[in-house]
Amino acid sequence: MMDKVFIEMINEHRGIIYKVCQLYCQDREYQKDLFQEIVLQLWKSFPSFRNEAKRSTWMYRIALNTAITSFRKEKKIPPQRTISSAEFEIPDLGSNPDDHEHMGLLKRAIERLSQIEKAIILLYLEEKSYQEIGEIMGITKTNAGVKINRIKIKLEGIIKTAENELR
Amino acid sequence: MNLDELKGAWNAYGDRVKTTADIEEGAIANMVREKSGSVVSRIQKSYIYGICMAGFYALCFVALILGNAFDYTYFLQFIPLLLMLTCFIVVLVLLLYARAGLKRTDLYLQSPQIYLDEVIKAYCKPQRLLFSLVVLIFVSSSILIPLTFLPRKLEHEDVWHSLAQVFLPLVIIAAVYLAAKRMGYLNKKQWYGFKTNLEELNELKRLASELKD
Repeated sequence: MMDKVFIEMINEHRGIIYKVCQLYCQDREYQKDLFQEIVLQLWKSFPSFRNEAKRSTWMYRIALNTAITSFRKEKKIPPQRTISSAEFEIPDLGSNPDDHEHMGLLKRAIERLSQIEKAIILLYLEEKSYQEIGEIMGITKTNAGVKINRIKIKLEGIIKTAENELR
Repeated sequence: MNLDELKGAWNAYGDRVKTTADIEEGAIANMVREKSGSVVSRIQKSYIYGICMAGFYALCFVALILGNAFDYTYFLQFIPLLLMLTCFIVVLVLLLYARAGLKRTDLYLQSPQIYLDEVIKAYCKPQRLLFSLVVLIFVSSSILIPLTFLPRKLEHEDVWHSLAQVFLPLVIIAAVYLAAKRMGYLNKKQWYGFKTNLEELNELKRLASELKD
């Protein structure tokens, strides 16, 4: 039987994993594959987690480390997991009709970012402070600020181009 | 439309995620039973392969030395075999040590910057060892071991004939080596891994340098 604390923790913070999967994989099957890999790495690291860091920080680090280095899989290796769709479903970023246009634009813009930029912009969108972003990513607060500004400029450029294309 | 408007859309997605149903215990249990397909687990597999190979060859050399398979009469003749045995044992110990380092449960707990550095180190180490091992095997098996048969040949045949028998294969091997080198087959990067592995390593290095930039 699995540790109840672990299951509760996964469910409490499943949003973090869903969002990471949404940003790093386009295909639904690969998203699920990544989700499972992240849960597996969380389970493996769970004995080392001693509540010294915030749970969310711990989860962000593991989820992002797994996602950042999962680049090879989507390109060359088909997803191999067999968990059925009924067991869990990752909500699609662009499926809500109310904000469909905004989400679609955001999704397309983020797709063009690098693995590292995706991690930083995710933390920015989650309204983490520069201090927290620095702590999670292992960079200084100043470096986090500089990177966020660069990514914002890049994203705004992409969004403008996309908007012009739509007109 | 600016980034702050998109932030609103992102928050709406966050709210939608909160309304999804909890994942059942059985589904989570299934996920943790799956085999990992991560970069780290692939590196661990390559370590296991290296450990098995080094262990197998170390045992073979122990058997060759203890059984005196080549009927050596002088201690000096055993030196190439002892040298190869030592190298395989060193490789075995280093790989076991490196694998233990990768099995650390807190590896994924590190920040992406430290994590990437650790993965890159883990990636390069066995490849360098493999390269050194191939060079060592090549030198020992093609140069040193044939030389150990020289004393026996000298006992039964004349000097020039014995020398020719030992050194002619060496000359051929040297010619093949030089030709391969000239044609670029001994490029260190080619030895460091197959093309895909090299691409993956370069990608990891690029990510690490992007984070440090």
